[in-house]
Amino acid sequence: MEIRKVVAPLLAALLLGAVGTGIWYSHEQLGAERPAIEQGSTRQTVLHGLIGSEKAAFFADARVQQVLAGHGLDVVVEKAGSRAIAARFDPQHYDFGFPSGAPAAAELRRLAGNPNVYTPFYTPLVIASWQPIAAILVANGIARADADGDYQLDLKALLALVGQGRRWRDLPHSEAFATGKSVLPMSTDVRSSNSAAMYLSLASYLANGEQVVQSGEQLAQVLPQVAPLFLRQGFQESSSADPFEDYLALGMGKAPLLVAYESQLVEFRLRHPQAGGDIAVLYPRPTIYSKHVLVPFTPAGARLGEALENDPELRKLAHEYGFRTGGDEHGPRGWREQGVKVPAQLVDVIEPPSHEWLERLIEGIEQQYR
Amino acid sequence: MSRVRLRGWLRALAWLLCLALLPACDRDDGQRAAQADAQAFSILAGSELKPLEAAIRQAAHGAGVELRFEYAGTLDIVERIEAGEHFDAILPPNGAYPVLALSQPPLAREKLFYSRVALGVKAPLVAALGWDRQAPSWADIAQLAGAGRLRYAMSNPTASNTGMSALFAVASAAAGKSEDLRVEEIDGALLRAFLRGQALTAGSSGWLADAFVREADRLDAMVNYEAVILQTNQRLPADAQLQLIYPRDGVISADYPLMLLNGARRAEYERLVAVLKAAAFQRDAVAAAYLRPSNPDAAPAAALPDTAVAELAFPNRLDVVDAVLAAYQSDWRRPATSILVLDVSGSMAGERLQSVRAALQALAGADAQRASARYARFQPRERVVLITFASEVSAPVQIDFAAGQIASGRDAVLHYAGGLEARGGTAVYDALELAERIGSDERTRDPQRLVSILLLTDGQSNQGLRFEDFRLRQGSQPWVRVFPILYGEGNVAEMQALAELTGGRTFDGRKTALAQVFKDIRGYQ
Repeated sequence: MEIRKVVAPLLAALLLGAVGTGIWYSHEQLGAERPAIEQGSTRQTVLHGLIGSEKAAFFADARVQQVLAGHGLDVVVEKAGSRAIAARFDPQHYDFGFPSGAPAAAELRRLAGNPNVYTPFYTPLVIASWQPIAAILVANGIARADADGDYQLDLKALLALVGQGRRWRDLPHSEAFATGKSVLPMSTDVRSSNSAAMYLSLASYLANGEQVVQSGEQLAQVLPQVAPLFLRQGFQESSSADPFEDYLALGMGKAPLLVAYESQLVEFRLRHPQAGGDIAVLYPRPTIYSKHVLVPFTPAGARLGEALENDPELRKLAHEYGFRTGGDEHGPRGWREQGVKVPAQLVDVIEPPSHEWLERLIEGIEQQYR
Repeated sequence: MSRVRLRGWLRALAWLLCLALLPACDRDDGQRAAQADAQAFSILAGSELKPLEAAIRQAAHGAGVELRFEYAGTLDIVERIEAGEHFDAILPPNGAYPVLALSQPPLAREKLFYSRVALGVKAPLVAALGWDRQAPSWADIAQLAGAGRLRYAMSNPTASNTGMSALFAVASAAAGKSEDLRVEEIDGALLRAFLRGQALTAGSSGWLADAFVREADRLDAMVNYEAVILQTNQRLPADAQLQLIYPRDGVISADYPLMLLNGARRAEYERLVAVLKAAAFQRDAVAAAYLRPSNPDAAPAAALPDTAVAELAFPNRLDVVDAVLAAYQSDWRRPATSILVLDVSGSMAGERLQSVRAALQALAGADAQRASARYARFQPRERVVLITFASEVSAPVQIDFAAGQIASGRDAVLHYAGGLEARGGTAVYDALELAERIGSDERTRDPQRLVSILLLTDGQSNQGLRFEDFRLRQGSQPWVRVFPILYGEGNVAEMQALAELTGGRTFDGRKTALAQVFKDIRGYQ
């Protein structure tokens, strides 16, 4: 104790000196290194954005980040359900929102004060399935194989089965999947996710005599037919990436029919040419395009939209993730060269309802979740 | 670089400061460890993940993320978060219940791996029943169980995800539905038949597997994760090997979502997810533990069947979940006889006795706001036997929670708790011997009852029988399971030996409130 009493003031003095030296030294080091960080690149702007989950892998790709760095953009993204992106609009924290689906983007654009928006990617809605299931649907006259190994799905006929509450084992020729599971496409939660909203757009169009819903009367008539498509599913995931993982990991038993984006399947097939031989892609007729719309909140956000739309290298990388793009090459031709054959053109494509009517449909379903 | 150097400087300065000014510098190392722990990314995870902790930590460390784990059952995970406990993330086996029940939805969630909840059945029985040729329906299984021809181990659905998943699978299948189950569609008779076969229960899937290994002779099957069943096979003799049976109406799988709760730690969360979903971890740790990888680049273990198994939906409404779990406890399950042996020796006086009173009040249902408190309290049809001991053993008090007597039963427990007084020595084994005798009589009188003993003592037995006498005097009589609570100055080694001897397990009451420990034990009763 005695020694400590003597030594303490000495040490304290030493300490003060050391603090000073340390701060000076560290400062010098920081100063010396800073120019090196910026050397060889343009000024980097860090920008934050909320994106639909299906684009997360694209933004995580080091090559994408490198090309964006070339544009002076360092992009930090957070995943959110497309409907939630509009709800979380906050230009203080985010430079852009990049939801899937034109209706969600329309609302976000309104909130952001109607800036010019960018539509760098789009992808049709498909039903991801399995060969034994596709065979059952073909045998029941609901699907038809096309030349490239994909299937055309008569969505109206399928939804009729769903409406009747049929189970797979009730269908003729269903030996390969004779379970008590209902014929009921699995989707995300329509309250949060765009792929479910696109599916709702299709289903409501069919339920409304092949017309896009645009009146209260039509809404009242359509809602009881479309709400069970979602309510009957039990617990649902809120963004599109999760059910697709379930589909791949747990297979046909979990998801005989999954509402998905073509981009998810194309990406998987490009990456795993050996795997997934059992996967079947059903193109519903009619179908709908999900447009990935970037809504900028800041000039930096606009620069990103600009780059994604116009940089051929970014478009090429987007094709690797299964997205169709503008430009000379839309995607399908390159995919075909790699053995992934998809229809280059889709006929019978409908438009989603306006944001207002789609919202009313979703709210109508939401109320029934209690 | 410079930031690291600055941090090194600060650390050196802190050390100097400490040396110069604080007399308590010897504690420095301990403090630093505690501080590092406090800064670690904290995860509250499903208890069956414990064996994977080392691999997860190592992978995370490689990504520059240090982790701190705590474990709980799914319901408890939700309630601890709701009660305001801080964790950066949770990792429950199934995301559905937390998403429905958490008042603040998670900020992000990523599924790490999967495991189906299956029925592992001894191979000769599978062959005899022809289940290797065609998988049974849940109704087939329920019929066998109801007739006493299938005795299986299954965890308590109110405490553990495997029990909960199986219960919802049977309830859905019995209602003839694969999704969107409603309360009025549930067939209680079939569920009761199914649950007549539940010969071993537990609060966690991991302990259930351990107990199955010890008691495999008297059991035919186990409901558990397919991963746990395959791991358990490595510890079972050739004639007790379990074959995976997936009932043909379907199962519910665990999908292990890592859910971010603390937005300030999103960057670490992202790094953690990336490394845990990377092909290397998914192959070397996930697939090796018989879990199904979420990364398609990693193949599942060859022992996992790749046949299509219908997946049943988890309900999307909390009221359905609540109704099913409540009915399980109060109506469908085999009734319990719960014998509580409580130390009221002199050393228990004061705060300790007060904790015992609080724990009993909780089981009486004094505070049943939370779902798990409602499931943990004494249930209709349950028989509760209360035995206190000091130098001598008190006369046992039996309280029946028969229909129409629930309120009076609760009052009786509260009255009993209020009347506890502490004085005298500690005759642990005299009291336990009495409890064993009562338990054994209960089983003889009503073989349907699941009988168990909770033991709380804060000291060494110093009167009456010794542990050795107690052990020898039992003879060939089968033991009633004892769940001793480690408490106060109790003899830890002896309590562990006692748990092992009787097929129970110890619970630690030295750091956790007794009310919580009693509640945890309820999952095993």
